[in-house]
Amino acid sequence: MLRIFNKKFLPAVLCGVAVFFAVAAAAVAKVEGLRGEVFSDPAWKQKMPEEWIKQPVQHPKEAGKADLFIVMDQDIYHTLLPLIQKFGKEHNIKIVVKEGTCGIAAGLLAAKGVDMGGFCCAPGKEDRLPGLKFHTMGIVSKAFLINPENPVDNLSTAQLREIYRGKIFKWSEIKIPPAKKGPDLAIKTIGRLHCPKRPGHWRQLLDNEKMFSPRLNEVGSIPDMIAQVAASRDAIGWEVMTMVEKYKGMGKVKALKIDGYSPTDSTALATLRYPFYRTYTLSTWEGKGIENQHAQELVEYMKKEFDKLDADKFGFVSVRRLKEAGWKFRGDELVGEPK
Amino acid sequence: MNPIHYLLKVRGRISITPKMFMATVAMGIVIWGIQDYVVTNRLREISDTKLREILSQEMQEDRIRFENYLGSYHRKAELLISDRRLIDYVLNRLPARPTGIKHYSESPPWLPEPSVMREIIHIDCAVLLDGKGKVREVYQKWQEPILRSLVEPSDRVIKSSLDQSFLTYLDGVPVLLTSVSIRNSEGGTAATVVFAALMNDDFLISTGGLTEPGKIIGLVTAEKRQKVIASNRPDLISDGIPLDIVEKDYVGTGKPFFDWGTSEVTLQFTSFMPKSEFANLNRSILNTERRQRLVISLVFILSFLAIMVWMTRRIRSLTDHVIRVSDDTLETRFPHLRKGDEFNVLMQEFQHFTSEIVSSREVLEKRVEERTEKLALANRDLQVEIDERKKIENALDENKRLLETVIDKAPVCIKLVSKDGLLIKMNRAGLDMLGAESFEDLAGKSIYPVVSAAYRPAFEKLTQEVFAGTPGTLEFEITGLKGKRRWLHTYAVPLYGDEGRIDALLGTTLDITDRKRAEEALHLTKFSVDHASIGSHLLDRNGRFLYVNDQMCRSLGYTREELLAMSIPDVDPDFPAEVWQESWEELRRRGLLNFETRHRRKDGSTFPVEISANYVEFSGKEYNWAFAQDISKRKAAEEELKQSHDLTRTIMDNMKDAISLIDVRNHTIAGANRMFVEQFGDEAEIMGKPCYAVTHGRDDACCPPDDVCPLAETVRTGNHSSAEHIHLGKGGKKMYVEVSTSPIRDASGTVTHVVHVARDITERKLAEEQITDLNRLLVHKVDELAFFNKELESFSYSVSHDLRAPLRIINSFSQIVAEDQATVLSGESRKLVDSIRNQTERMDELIKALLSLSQVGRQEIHFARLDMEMTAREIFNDLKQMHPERTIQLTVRHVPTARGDAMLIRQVLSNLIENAIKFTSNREKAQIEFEGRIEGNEAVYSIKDNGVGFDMQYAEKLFAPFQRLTSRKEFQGTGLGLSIVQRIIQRHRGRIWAESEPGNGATFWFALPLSDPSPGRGTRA
Repeated sequence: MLRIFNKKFLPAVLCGVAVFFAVAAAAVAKVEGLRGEVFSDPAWKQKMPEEWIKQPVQHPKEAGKADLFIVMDQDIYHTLLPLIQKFGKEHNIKIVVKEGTCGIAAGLLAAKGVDMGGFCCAPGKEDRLPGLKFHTMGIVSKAFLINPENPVDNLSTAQLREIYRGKIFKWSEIKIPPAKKGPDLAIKTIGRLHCPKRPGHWRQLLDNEKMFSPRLNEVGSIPDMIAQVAASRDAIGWEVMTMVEKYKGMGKVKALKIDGYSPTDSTALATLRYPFYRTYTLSTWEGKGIENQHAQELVEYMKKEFDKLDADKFGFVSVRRLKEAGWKFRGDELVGEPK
Repeated sequence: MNPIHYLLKVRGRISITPKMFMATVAMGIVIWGIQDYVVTNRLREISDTKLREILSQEMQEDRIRFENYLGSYHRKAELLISDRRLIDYVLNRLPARPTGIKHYSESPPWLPEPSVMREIIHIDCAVLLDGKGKVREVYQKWQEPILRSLVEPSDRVIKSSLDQSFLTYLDGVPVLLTSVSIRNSEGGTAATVVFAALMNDDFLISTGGLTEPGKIIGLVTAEKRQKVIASNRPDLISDGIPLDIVEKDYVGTGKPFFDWGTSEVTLQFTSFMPKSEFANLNRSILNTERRQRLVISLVFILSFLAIMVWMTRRIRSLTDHVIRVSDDTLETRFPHLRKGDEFNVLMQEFQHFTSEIVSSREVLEKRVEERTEKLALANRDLQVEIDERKKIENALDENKRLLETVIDKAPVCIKLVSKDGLLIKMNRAGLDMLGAESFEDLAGKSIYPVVSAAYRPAFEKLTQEVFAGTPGTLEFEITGLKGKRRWLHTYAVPLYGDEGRIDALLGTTLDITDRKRAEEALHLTKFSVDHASIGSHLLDRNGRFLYVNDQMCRSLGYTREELLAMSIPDVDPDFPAEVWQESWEELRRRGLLNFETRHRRKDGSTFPVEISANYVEFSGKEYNWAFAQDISKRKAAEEELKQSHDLTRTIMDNMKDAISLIDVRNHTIAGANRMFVEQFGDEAEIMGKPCYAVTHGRDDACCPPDDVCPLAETVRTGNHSSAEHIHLGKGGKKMYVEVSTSPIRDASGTVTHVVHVARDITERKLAEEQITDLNRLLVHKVDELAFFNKELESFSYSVSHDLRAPLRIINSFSQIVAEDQATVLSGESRKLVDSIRNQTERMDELIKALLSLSQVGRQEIHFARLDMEMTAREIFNDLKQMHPERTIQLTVRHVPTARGDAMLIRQVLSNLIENAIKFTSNREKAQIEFEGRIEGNEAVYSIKDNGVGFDMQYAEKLFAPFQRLTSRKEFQGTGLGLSIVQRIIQRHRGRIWAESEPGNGATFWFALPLSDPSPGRGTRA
């Protein structure tokens, strides 16, 4: 064995090792190329006019005389609203919470019409307005859903990407242990390509909409997604488990295990063995004239309360657990995955 | 006339049917009105809800299409900028330096024609920015002032709309934006085009193809008082109109935000439906429902009228009946109403009818009172007469009942019998005597058949005498109807009739069966006692004989008269007069005494008796009724038995076996010999204890088949049984025993006890165990030995085989040296070389022989029938050819066939014959004899020669390897030939031996089994 390390063979061995690492790096790069950004650069700031920077936060009429006006994406709204209401009751303040999307939250923040914004995605570059500070509440696993009649119950991350890229065309190309195949049906891929400029979410699967198969069926809303998966034996879609629970009236769906891990397994998510998730983020204003003390208190309160949620029911991982698992933070904001 | 009175009067004249009809109609109208009010409202609510659900569903579909349209807006823009005209304009015709913003109100040169644009994308404005982000050209479709934020787009607007649809407010106006970059040849941004569409009526109209024709959709602000900012039907719903005003004429439903994340506006996409459509639908449903209700109401009214007509006819029928009864039965004379309200007519007639009944009742009551008074007087007289008669009848009845009771309850049979013997009457006691259930069983039948044949003539005679007027009595036997025999005593008298004639025989009969039986028993008892084989006597309290039976007289040798004059002390020497009195007191106290004593015969001799004395009181006097049994024989037998028992006990106690007697009911030990007691402890502890507790130390009985129990086997089969057991003796000493059990039966043959004999075989068992252990050790050793033998043979074979190769080389090289160097070598050297060659050949032979010996041990034996004679002759012939110079003779006699392995036995014969030839080499004429015979299970063969022979004191060395009894110089050989022969014979389970005398030749014997040895160990060495 030691002969291969003599002078004659050493260059060849080194070349072989180099080739191996090059191929491995190319493979990793290929995977990395498929997976989009998970977080945007926290140091980046959106350029805004001077008069905008000086502009104070002014609530629109619909907020009435609220001590705190918050607009939130529908996902985070559903999860955090009870906690916000509890906070308002405990602190005896009037909080008006408006339900919308990440875009609406970003629009109202850009118009300085709201004290806090709530996002189901990590903030994009365009969301990073001057004076705006982001606070991560935690992450929640994004489940891939299929019809309950479909016998497949586990997919690898690679298989999932191949399905959405249209490389795997039929369920029967998926092997179900022991030695069975999925049904002989063409896979109906369903996607909701929301927030394409923000990192994370569906971009963890494929970076941009052009990577998706032309056969992708796009739906505009969460209930449409769940209804279509529940109605089609050949369908596959995605959504967080809280929304699956909320819209269970739309029909029954089944959450797939990915690489052998269930989306409700919060430990697998914290260690990234389950690789798909959404980032729940709140934003507050920082600076003279735009800061709201209640908003700061609410953020601290929410971080503690989020840690008390039933982690293994919906696949929540709180900030505390993320930090324990080695996720990177800058201030309150989650900015990187563990190595 | 008062109008109310008039109305009431008129009402009374109208028939009930039209009145009920009018009431039903009036009630129906009221109920219908209420129901209409309730049902109409409810239906309206339901249809409103349902329509809203439908509208919501439609809105959902509209919204999905609309959102998909918005979402795909940027893709259409991307398609547009791939147009070669735009790329050519940007890259080649756009001035390099900005010269101010160029405005187009018509289609600019960098966009397709409007007709093409219409098909691809709806835009209100397009802004062309150069690579540095400066606005260079603006296309605006409308004449209104350009949106400042669009002409000077912020960095955020450009980035947010780049490559995606972005819905935002620009200068307070909702605008759909998308930006697309055009790359130059270096990959940098050559230009960016921002497409914008205002979210206004035109936009919604342009998306008209997305919704069904006639559908109204709109966009509504999210302000506190929501306003419509755009609709696809501005002629119906114009811009800026508050939603609450629109909702006066329209029903609207929608969602407050677009569900895809690049929309910053909170516009509500709403679908509208005119309320007039709702109203028309509601009206249609209500009209249908009302028509159905009207039909149902008419059906009800007609049904009700039919019922009323039927009821009116029934009422009229009842009224007619009342009138008929009044006129025809009650004969009333009052006018009848025939028209008008049927209830009124019936009521009036009923009132007349009831008043007539009341007056009639009063007249009737008066008449009844008068009649009642008369009847009361007549009744009083009649009652007095009845009372008198009743008293007489009661007295008669009482007498009759008394008589009947006396007759019926009398314990004697009272009967009436006719002259010809027919039974006329008989009371219950008589029926019971005859075994009849009731008198009907005997009525009219003759009484004679019941009377036993022996007494029938006497009975008939008595009957005739009675009918002749003479009473009489008779005791006779009858056989009842149920076959029961009775003795009866009858007293018969004539029963005279009214005319003095004898009508019947009145018989009074007593059942004297018991008395008769007692008399019979008394006679039998006396006879039995008199003639009993046991002596019996009756004594008074002074011991005097009052009665003695025949046996008593015989046993004592006295006559009865002599004994009746004697007393007990005269015949019993153990009971003198002074003892008799004490004995009497004890008998009186205890009532019964059993004892043994002696009686003295008349000749003075005595004999033992067993007395059973009974104290008896009769008619105030005391007696001793005693029985005396001569027990001379029993005493003798008891003595004999005692002697026998003592002998048995002595034998049992001196036996080495532990013997016990076991009661099979509870397995308790009823008896045991000395050895048993010695083995298991104190006799008091053993007796009465269960055998399993004593011998096995168990708490429960042995339970076959799990436990071996010869006792249980003997009880089960009734036969002798045996088994080997382990007993636990005193101090838990373990004893191997051989148990045998034998049954003991009672008089009925049932096994009651079992004799349990346990022989101690501990020593034998221990010896057996030792033998078993030794056997096991032996088997182990044999296996071990076989293993080592095998190893050794394997080793020998390997060594021998491997040694031959260098020997052949030495021999070959020696030969080469001898041949090639023949001229060079000195004589001494040549001798040495020859010696080397001789020794190597000798060694090769030795090794071959060793190899052969090894193969003999390893070779598998295949048994077959062998012709020994033929084999011997073949071998001899072959060997003889090798010594043509010699005279050798082989004689074969009576050689039986053998069973063995053909190759190996051939080797045996070959070696022995070769030996015989070899050791006769110094004889002039060699004689070899081969003989054989059958002895038992063996075939015995011998090979005899007249050679040099050997001394028998070295016979033991004969078959050992490399042992020679002669010098090698004299007789060549390896010293292994006979070892191989012995090994082969042993592998056949045979024997080999030799006999010889020095100088007188030698005889080699070998014996082979006639049957094949069992396979396995015997087939391999």
